[in-house]
This record gives sequence, C-alpha cells and structure tokens, in this order.
Amino acid sequence: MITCEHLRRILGRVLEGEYEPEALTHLEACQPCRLLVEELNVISRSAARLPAHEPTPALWLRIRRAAEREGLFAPSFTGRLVSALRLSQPMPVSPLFATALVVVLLVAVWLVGYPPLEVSLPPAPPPSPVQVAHTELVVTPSYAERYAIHLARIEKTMLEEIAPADAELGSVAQENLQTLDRFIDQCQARLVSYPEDKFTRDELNRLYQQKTTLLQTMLDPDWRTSVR
Amino acid sequence: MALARVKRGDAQAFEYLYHLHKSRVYSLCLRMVGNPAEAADLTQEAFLQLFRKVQTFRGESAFSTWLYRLVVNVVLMHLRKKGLPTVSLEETTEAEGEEEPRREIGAADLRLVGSIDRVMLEAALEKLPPGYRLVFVLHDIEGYEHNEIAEMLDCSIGNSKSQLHKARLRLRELLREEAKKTNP
Repeated sequence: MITCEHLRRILGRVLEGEYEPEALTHLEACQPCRLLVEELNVISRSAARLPAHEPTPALWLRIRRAAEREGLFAPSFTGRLVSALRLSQPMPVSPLFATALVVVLLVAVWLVGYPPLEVSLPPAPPPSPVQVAHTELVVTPSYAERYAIHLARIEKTMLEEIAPADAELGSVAQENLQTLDRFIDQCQARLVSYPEDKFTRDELNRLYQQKTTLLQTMLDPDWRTSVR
Repeated sequence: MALARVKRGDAQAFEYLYHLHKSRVYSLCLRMVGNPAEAADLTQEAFLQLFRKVQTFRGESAFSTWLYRLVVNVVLMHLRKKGLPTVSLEETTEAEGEEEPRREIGAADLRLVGSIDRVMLEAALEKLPPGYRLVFVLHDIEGYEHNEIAEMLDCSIGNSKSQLHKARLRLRELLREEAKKTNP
C-alpha cells in the first residue's frame, strides 16, 4: 500500500477524477488522509456556493460616459439627423452685418438687463431610517463602539452576578460570550469593507440574537440552578 | 444577435451585455484585489476594453471565455503595476507533496467539515497568493473547466490543476488557523 506522502503527491490528480486504485485503497484504510480529502472537498463545495458581488448602479453611468468620450458608441438616430441637417459649408457673413448685430445685442442687454438668477433647489429629502441605521452601523464606527460599550457593561454586570456564586459557571459563560464576540468582530470588520454584503449583515444579526439569548439565559435563575 | 449590434456600436446592446456579465466580472475583480473601489475601476477598464476590441472577436471560443480572458489580463496587469508577486503559472506538477508538513498527518481534531462559513472563506481567499487565488476563483467559484482556464491564462491544463490543488491546500491551512482561534 502507498504511504501518506505518496498519496499527497498524487492527490491533485485523484481529486480531479483521475483513476488511481492505490490511492483509493490507501484512503479506505487511512483516516487522516480521508479527512484531508473530505476537507478539500468541503472547501471546493463551499466556494461554489459563494454569491456573486454586485457593483453599484453608478458604475454603468461611468462606463457609458467613458465610452461616449472615446466615441465607442455609434451616434444615435437624433445625432445622425442633426449632422445631416448641418450645412456642408459655412454661410458667408458680411462684416458690417455682424458688427451691427453685436451692437444691437449689447444695447438690448443694457436696456433690458438680466434679472438675477434665483434658483431655489428643492430641499433634499431627509434620509430614511434604514439609511441612517446603515450609515451609523457601518460608516460611523462610533455607533458600534457605543453599542459595544453598553453591551460590555451589561455583560460585566451579569458575570459579576454569576461569578461570586459559581466561578466555573462564570468562566463557561464568559468563554461562550468571547467566541460570539470574535465572530461579531469578524463580521463587523467585513462590513466596513463591503457594506453591501447582505449575507454578512444577516449573519451579524443572527449573532447578535444569539448573544442576546445567551445573556437572557444567564439571567434565568432556573438555568443557573440546572447547570450546577 | 446582441453581439452583432455591439459590433455596430449600438449603445443599448452594450448596456445589455454589461448587465449580463457585470456581476461575474466585478466579483472576479473584487476577489482578486479585495477593494471595492479598485474592483470598480478594473471592471470599468475591462468593459471599455471589451467595447474597443469586440470587433476582433471571431467566435473561436465562447464569448464569456473571451471576455474573462480580457478581464484576467486587466487584473494581472493591475497586480503587476502594484508590484504584487504573482505565482508563475509555468510550474511543474512535481512538487505537490511538499506543501503539507509531516506533523499535519493525524491532526484530526480541527475538523473543517460543517464549520466553513462564507465570511471565513472570503477572508481566507484574500490571503491566498494572487496566482493561486486566480485559478481557485475561476475554477471553484466561477465554475470554469481547466481547459478554459488554461486558455484564459495562457498556460497548460496540468499547471492549472496544480495551481488549483495548491490553492485548496493553502486555503485549508488558513481555515484551520482561523478555526484554532475560534475554538481554542
């Protein structure tokens, strides 16, 4: 039978579906190598389920403008019509006529005057509650910090309530909370870079709910009694 | 039909093509550079190159393969300009067994089965060297076959398979390290 090292040298071919009977025999007998193959398959299957990322809607406008500047688009029907209607040669203009026209225009401007332009823009609509929450949660880190400080105070109070009665219970609860906090930090860090990531946002919500449930459970005197 | 209109410079056909392929192109760029603003710039450049070069598409390969080859070139040029090392795709397939140290055999206590979530996998993917990451994204995420990847990257099918295997092994290491941190 082949060794584990030999299997790892040919493992790439085995995973690509090439028939290697010695490798199959080894895998039937070797649990660590089977675990390795299983983990590589899990990685591959998980990758296939990763969703596509969407660009912002504004990206198409950028691309279109850049393509128009380069003249990559054919002129539209309206553009072709305007070009066709243009005279092929400029009309000859008498210098005297041109001068007279300019003078008349200047006099008209002086006599009539231009009213000052008063353009009043409509007020910007207030941001929706979702936009405010989004901005605060992702763009303004201080919101997450404020939340984290408040939650840390609650955790400290609860752990102090449990810890004097049962140190082991307190440390178990603390470990679980720390694990949840690590996952929460990972999700928050990801949302800072990818604020549109709905799956991470859902995951974060789920983790907050889990943490809330855990804290509520820790407050239940029946739970403390049953765990002891 | 849409392609014929694109070749004539029809703006609406361009827009149709863009919306058809934007997610996959943007996802590939984003997973390669890890930054949404850079990914948007690369996506823009890729589609402008498509519009400039669409006349040269003769139909010898699938249009998406041709487009992705273009996107991959844009991404690789960008990475080279940034001075990031890209693993040479012209490597032999001999050195596969050297990736795993002997002490990994038998370490059955860090099972990844059932514990890989999307966030962990995307984070680990960002840490992969660009050469491995490119083949892994094209094969395992985007679903391209090795012959298509070899055409896109101008390498052999054997090299594509070798890079993919190394990418998966490296991802496994990275995910195990992360699993150790969360389950000490």
